[in-house]
Parts: sequence; structure tokens; C-alpha cells
Amino acid sequence: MNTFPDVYLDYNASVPLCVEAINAMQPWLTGSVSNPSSVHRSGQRSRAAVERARGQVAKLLGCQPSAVIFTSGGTEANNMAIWGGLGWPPHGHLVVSSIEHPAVMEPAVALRDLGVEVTFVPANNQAVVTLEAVRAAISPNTRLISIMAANNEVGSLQPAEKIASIAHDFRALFHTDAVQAAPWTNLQPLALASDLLSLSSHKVAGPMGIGALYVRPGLDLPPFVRGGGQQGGRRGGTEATALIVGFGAACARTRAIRDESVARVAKLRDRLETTLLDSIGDARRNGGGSRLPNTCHMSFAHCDGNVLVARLDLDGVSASAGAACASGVAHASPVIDALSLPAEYRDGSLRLSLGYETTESDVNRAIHTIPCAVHAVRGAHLEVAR
Amino acid sequence: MARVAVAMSGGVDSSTAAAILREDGHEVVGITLQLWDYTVANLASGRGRCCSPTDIADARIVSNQLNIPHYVFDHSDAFEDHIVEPFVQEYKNGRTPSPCINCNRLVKFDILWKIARGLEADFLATGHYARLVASSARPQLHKGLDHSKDQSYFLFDVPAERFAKVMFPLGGLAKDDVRATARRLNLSVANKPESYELCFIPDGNKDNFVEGRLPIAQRRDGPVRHLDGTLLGHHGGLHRFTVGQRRGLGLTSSEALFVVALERETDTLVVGPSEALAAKKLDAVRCNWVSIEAPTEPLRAHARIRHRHNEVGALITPRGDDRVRVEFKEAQRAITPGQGVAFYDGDLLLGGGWIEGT
Repeated sequence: MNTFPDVYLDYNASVPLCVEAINAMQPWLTGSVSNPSSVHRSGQRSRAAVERARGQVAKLLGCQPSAVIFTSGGTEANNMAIWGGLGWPPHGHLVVSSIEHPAVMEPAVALRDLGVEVTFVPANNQAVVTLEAVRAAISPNTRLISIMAANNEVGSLQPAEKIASIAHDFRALFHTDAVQAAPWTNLQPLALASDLLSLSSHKVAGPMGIGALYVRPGLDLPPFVRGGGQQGGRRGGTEATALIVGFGAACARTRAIRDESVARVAKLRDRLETTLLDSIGDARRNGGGSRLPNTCHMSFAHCDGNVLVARLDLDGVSASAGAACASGVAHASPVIDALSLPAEYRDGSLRLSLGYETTESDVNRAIHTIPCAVHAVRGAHLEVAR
Repeated sequence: MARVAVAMSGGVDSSTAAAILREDGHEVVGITLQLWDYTVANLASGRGRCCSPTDIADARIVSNQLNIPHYVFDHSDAFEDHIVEPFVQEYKNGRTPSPCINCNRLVKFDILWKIARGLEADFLATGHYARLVASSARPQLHKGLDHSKDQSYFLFDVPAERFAKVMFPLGGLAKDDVRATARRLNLSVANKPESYELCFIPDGNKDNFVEGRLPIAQRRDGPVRHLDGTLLGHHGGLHRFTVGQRRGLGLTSSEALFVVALERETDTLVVGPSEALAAKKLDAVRCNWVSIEAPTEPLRAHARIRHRHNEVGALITPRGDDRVRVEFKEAQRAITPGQGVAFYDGDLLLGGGWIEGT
């Protein structure tokens, strides 16, 4: 096995917890932390910390703090938006794209099963949802449109702000899952254009288990998690003080260093991608056009992407074949379907996603390691082919 | 020190196999195949389960204990296509399938093998109770030392060249040794109960499973006839029967009657007395030779016609096209089409084939 420290190229799955978040959380992981809703001074300290953090998240979005609802993560934020955006009980027409994260897709499917009218808008072969496709799906009965800001698998940026304006022309609400876009794009114009916007803490180097939903001020959104009336009655459950504080710190850090990181990471990504495409035969890049600066999604003909990812891990490169899922098993996804890949490329996808901490030497290691790994996995494929 | 990919099912055997290899100083990589679709709908429909989420979690916990990497690969489509659906079809058509033999050939020593090669493992290891002895000519596959646990029978259909790069760390151990090793190493699965059923039918109710996938219109019902030609009744489908079966015939007869044959041309279930189950020969097809070259001359060996059958002396005569005729020294009871026949020289597995008829 290799003796170098591992090269982590799976930032789209999770970003390692930043030191700012660790430091901010430390005091809130002790035995003297109280319920933020408590009356006593210990509770007051928790409340102040939660509200300060709410302000830090709001600053990333350019909104007022009261528009930020903390959730247990991006998945809950998306569920809250999809269920809540259709009112209670859910009614009206829902439009989502076919390349949404399962946290949007599955609630949409559940609502469809309950009898709600749902349209799944296809993406083009660059994994982009076009305005034409959205216009074709929308109807006077449309109540909510949900289109992600950036696709988590191939990194394609969606014309979310323009779709928001189409939605508003039809008096529909617009939700965007901005989980993957958050570390890389200025979310302020997007939040301004949207009615609902989802964030996940661990995608911006905060702790796992916490996220937020932006709810446009004045929008009356029914709660998804019902309970003790916390967060203005919009999300029941005691606020997770330590996680919220860490999330806030991570948002502040993102705001501080995002812009300088984008150009640097894009350059690294481009070099990684170009070199790999040059040195590996029968390889293709997926999701062209406008995309996240950190994501490189490729497909290799006659290569099992899941074996490739395991093999790369043994060689000290952490990557992924697609989106990470609960069981740790990757499945062919609707996003791969949208790309309309030739059959021999369909099983051979590799996602390399970079982060603020990615270095030149990380990229060099990846460039050095991946071609051999693809070669070995292809060889095994052909060796046993019947 | 070699890189060894270990197939880990989450059970005590394969977990201990991984632990032993690790103790021996190998670079061990755990691999688990997910062979069943665990969506809620699938579970609710009462379908079987193989390598359940709990088993996969157990494999991951053990791997973590052993400090080895562990990867899970979803091949439920292949398992469905190569194992489960053919299993149902074989029963439907009046044969008694042997899915574990097919799983070894088509899943474990094919899909897993390919994965191991892709990971540039020098060897693929499994928790089978069988022994491999290196030889200059070709690998020699022997029964597991603990004959009560021996699984060599299930391996007769694996292409011989694969065994050159296979390890069976448990081959020289008894089950008690394996448990003791697991306990000594404090493996989390040390006391996990063993499963004796087919992995995809955990409750052991084969008929329910098959019927869940076989609409009534597709079931091959037909007459029940005595060997002497008497019509005795009607049966609800060939899939419920296997040669030698006595229960479930629904017959009232003073004579003890057994299933003697399932006639596919007419969907007839033929029953007869116990003596009618005895046959001195069988024909086998699609033979595969493991520890020896395919014979061209008649060969004296011992033949095993099902798992846990005590093999008997037989003359095996090649008849071309990977077919052989097997003539037993003494008549055998309930030779069953669809099952495998394995050939041994003492503990050495020579090869085997698929029983076509008697």
C-alpha cells in the first residue's frame, strides 16, 4: 500500500470539517450547555450563540437572519421545501428536474404517489435543465418549481435565477437546492431570486447533521418537522447549538475565502481533467458548458467505475463513482441517464471533486495514479469477458 | 506478503478468513457483493434477502476491527438474472436446481474475481471449507479437512484456472476452530448464528418463494400417475416436487409412494415405490474438470450426486461435448435432474457435471 497521505478528491460528498468550525464548536461540546429555549442564563448563552450563527448563515445568503431556518441537513431542508411549498395539505402542480438530488426527487415521487400532479423536467445531455424544458412543463396550476443550483454529480450549473423568474411569471414558488453550489458561487443573487433555498453545513466545511432552509420573508411555509414551536413554529425540535455554531463559523469562512479559491481550484481542476483526458484512451468529460469550478466528471469505456473507485482508494486517492449513498454502494443515476452516454461508457464513471484545500501536489498524485488504475480495471474487465 | 481480496458476507466464516489472512501478514481488502434489492417495496412484497443490510454492516464492522479497507458492490441485477430467475424457471420446469453451484461459477468466481483483478489483488480468498494445494500442472482442489463442513462439491463448476489465484484460509480448520479464532480475535460476529437456508430464501420456504414469482397461469400442473400407468390424481405444479419426495403428494394409498420422475413433455408427476428410485447410472452434461485435464478414457472415481451425499465408486465414461456417463458400483437413490454430480479421487475434487437423466 502507498505510504503517502491520501489525496482527498471527494469534496462533493463531504468537505472535511474546517478548523474555524471546530474551534467555534468546542465550548458548546461541554457539560454546561443548555437548551436555547430555556429562561435561565445558561439557556440565554445558547440562544445568543444560535442567533449569532443564524446571522452568519444569513450573511452568506445576503438575507435577514429570520429567513434562515435550521434543519438537520440539506435533505430535511429539501423535504421541508417540497412538502411545505405545496401548502398543507399539499396541493397544486409540482415541477422538479429529473437530475435533482434524491432529497428532492424522493419527496416529489412520494407526493405524486399521494395524487399530487408532478412533472419531472428532463435535462439535456450536458445535465442542464433548459428554460424551454421548464416552460414546457409549467401550467397555470403550477405551485412550486424546484431546480437545483448546481448538479452534485457532474457539477453542471443550472439557470436557476432565470427559472425563478419564469416561476414568478406563473405565480409559482421557486425552490433551489443550493447545497452543492454553496462553496463556489455567490448565493446572494440566487437567494434574492428564490422563495426557498437549501443549504447543507458539511458541504461548506461545517459539521454534518445540520443545514438550513432559506424562506423568503413573508412566505407562510407550513412546518415539515412539527414539535415544540421552535424557530418561529416553522421547525420543531431543540436547536442543535454546537452544530449550528459550527455551521455559522463555516459560512463565515466560506464568505471570506470563496472568491480567492474559485479561480485557483478551477485551474487545478482544468489541469487534472485535461491531463487525464490526454493520457487515458476512450475517456470522456461529462457535463460541459457552465459548471462548478471544482467538479470533474469523466467516463471511461469498458471500465467498472465502482471497482475503479475502490482501486483508487487502495492507491490513496479518495474519489467517487457518482453520488455517495447510504449503503456505500453506487447505483446508476438519473444524471448518468441524462448524459446519454454510449453503452460502453455507462458503468465507467468517475467523479473527482476538489476543495479549497486541494493542492498542486494532490493533483499531481491523481494524474500519476488514475491512468494506471483505469488500465488495471479495464484489463480485469477484458480478462474475464465472455 | 500478497494483496488478497476477501469475499466477506458478514458471517463468521468469511470474517474469520479475513482475520486469518491479516494475521498471516497479507494486505487484505474486503469485498462484499450486495445481491438483493432492498428498496422498501421489495421488502414489503416479501421477497427474499441475500447479504442483507445487516450483513453488509457486519462485514464493515469486522473490516474496521481488522483495519482493512472494505468495498461493497451492487450486483443484484446479475444475481437476479443468473441465479434467482433461473432457479424459479428450473423448478417450474420440473428440475431441482442447485443455485449455490451456479453462484460460485457465475457470481463469486466471476464477478468477485473480476473485482479482485481490478484491485490488482494477487489472490481472491473466500470462506469456503476447501483446500487448494499448489502443483506445477494445475491447482489441486481438496475437500475441506473438516468433512462435515466440506464445500468442495459446490465448486466443481468453477473454471480450473481461477483456482491458481484463489485462497481458502478455512480449508484446514474445523468449524469449532473458526469460532474459536473469531472469539480469540474478538470479532463482532464471533457468535453470529449460521444460516443453513438458501441466502435468498431465509425462511426456507422454497414453495412460497417460487410461487411468489410464478403466476398461477405459468405453473405446470398435470396428472399424477403411478409407474404402472394408473392415474392417481392431479398436482398443482411441477415446481412443488423433486425426485424422491414423499410429502405433499396428496395421495391416499396403502403403498408408500415417492416422486420417481417429473415428465416435462406432459407435466406428469410419476410416482412409485421406494425401489423405483434406485438407478445405477446417470448422464451428466456441461462437465467441468478442476484438478485434472478432461479425461478422454473411462475413469474410475467416486461420485457425489448431491451435497452431503456419501460418494460412491463409479466408472465415468466421456461421451464427447463435455458429457459423461456415470455408472455406479451400487444403485443410488433419487438421482435428481438439475443437481450437480461431483467426481472425487479420495479428497481430491476432479470435476463434475450437471445431471441430465438416469
